[in-house]
Amino acid sequence: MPIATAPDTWLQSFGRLSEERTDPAWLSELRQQAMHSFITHGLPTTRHEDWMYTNLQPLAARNFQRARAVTTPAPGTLEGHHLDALSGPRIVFVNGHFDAQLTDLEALPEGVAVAPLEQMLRETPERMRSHIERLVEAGDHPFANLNTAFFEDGVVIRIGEGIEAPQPIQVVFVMKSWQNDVVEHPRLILLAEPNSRATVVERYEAQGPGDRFTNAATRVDVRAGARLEHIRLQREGSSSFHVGMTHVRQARDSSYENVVVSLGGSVSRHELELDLVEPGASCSLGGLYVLGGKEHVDNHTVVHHRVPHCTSEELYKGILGGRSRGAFTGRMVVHKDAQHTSSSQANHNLLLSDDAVADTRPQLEIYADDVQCAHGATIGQLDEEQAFYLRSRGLTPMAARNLLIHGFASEVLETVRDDEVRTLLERVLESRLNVDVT
Amino acid sequence: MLEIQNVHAQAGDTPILKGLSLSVGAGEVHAIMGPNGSGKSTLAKVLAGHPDVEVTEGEVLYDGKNILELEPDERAREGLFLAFQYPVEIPGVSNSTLLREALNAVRAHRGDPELDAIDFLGLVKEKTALLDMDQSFLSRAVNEGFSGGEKKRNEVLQMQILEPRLGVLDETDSGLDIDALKVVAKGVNALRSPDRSFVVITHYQRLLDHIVPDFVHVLNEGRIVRSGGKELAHELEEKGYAWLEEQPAGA
Repeated sequence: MPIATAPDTWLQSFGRLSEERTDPAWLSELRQQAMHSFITHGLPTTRHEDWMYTNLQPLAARNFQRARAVTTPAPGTLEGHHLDALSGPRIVFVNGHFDAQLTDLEALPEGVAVAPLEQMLRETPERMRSHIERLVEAGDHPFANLNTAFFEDGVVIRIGEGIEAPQPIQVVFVMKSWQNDVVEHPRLILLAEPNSRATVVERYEAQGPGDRFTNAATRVDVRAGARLEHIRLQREGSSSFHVGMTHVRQARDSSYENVVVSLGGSVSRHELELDLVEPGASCSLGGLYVLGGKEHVDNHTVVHHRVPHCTSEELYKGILGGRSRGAFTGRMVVHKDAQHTSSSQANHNLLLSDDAVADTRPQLEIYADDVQCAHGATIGQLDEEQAFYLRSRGLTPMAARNLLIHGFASEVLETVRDDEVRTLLERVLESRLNVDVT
Repeated sequence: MLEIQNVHAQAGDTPILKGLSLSVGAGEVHAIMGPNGSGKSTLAKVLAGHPDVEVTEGEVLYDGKNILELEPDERAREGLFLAFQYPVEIPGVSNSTLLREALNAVRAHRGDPELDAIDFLGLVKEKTALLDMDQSFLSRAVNEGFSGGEKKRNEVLQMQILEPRLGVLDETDSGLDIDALKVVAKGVNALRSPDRSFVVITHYQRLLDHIVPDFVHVLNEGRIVRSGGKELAHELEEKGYAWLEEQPAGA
């Protein structure tokens, strides 16, 4: 039995949305189908293999309402989010709606286009169609369906052929509300055209009290010879719900470097699925999750090696305090024709308390015979000899602990190529450690 | 400066120090020698406050204060420094980060402001040059993949930067070739001053050719059984420790 999802609330909300919007016919139809499928299937229980670590009951019990656009706060009132930490162009969404005042695209280099999806759908709906439809093609997924039914805005980023974007492009979603149980469903489309180079930072933030739900879907195309660094930072706070899905398709000789940083939530889940569909593609997947209290983060990654001569490297690290639970599932599928695949995967967890739980599940499916694949997983605690050594140099127990945690995390953060982005991630990690991860 | 009075200590249930007393004056260098298992490293752990060693009796007064009541980091900030026999590797934490954090912790305790990045770098440059260390070492993780000699040099570098008032060197000569030994000794000797003291724990006399002690003590079965001047070290070198078996402890 799936979990029922308060269908009346969702259907009412869907009805209102349909009245407000003027979607092209194909999109209305797509939304109808998605809504129908979501209501019919409900949410999976923990008996479903892909959801065994995450109980969706608390999420299903809520009556989430669509988040509304709010009057833009005066500039600077989003302090604490380090929006200025990155000097490059940024596009900002508040409660899922484009915010022109907080957006600053002046530094956007020639050949790089960044626009709100809502605008693109109005101006060039047919060009958006295949990108929008892709998510549904990926399979019947409850949250993908929910996103398709309800998405209102999001972003389209296109790095033109041969273009090198010197500064990271920042996409920020801020949930800002004074009421409980609001939801946003952002949709992101990233296109790295052949031989382009860029860093894109996708951020999920929240401001003010209240339980929110973000249900984001991101579609990434890395075309031949392109190199895309893609950072995903999720930190809406301990009472938030977050589901994110990132689907990536990589063409010949492309390179995709992804780092997912999750700083907690009531339920936070990210699914990353890569398709390496042409030879010579390489990807590097990094993950860092830092949790305290009763937080829950579930990372689910799947890499499909479909053709020969591709490489994938994956390193996820969890830092778990309080009574938190961090789960990692990493599937590597080496398909029959994918000879000369080189793939490695590791998941390491640091437990800071006796009550924290780490789940780790590496899954290798290899159907080719000439491949190199390695994987490993560990769960451990802070090393007492290391802590004593640091304390013998004058560091307080807290400073020693934070330095060791930082050292543990640095293996992932070091893989971030862009200096500004790495510094930003170190700062948010530090502020997270100083709050309540014990 | 340091008064160790009748200290009894155990690791787990095993008594190791059995009434050790030692008095170290300001500016003095005391060598502690003795056979394996005599309690030399346990003494170092007692002074630094290692959690594996429990002091069951006695006091350790440092400037009149019983430091056994202080946490390891409080002792460090008060000016006590232990150069480890086996320095710990800390992946992901760079030497420069550790040095900066440690120095600022010690300085804050003394009431000095934090060093800014430029002054800090200047200080570290000067000290690494003194110890023939390459600058690139600063960005490497603490002791990770270091050779035995590099680890010991790193201990002395930290001591040079933190400028403790009491340095405890636990078998700093073990695993060093003669050139590295000289460099390490140079680093220690450069710190010698009328208000800074050292306790140098060693199995062999050769380190004491380079760090010349004012006093030499022989530790056996958890107690100091003989004390003398630097010539005692030479005598031990000639005779070894076998003679300890022939006379009752405390003689």
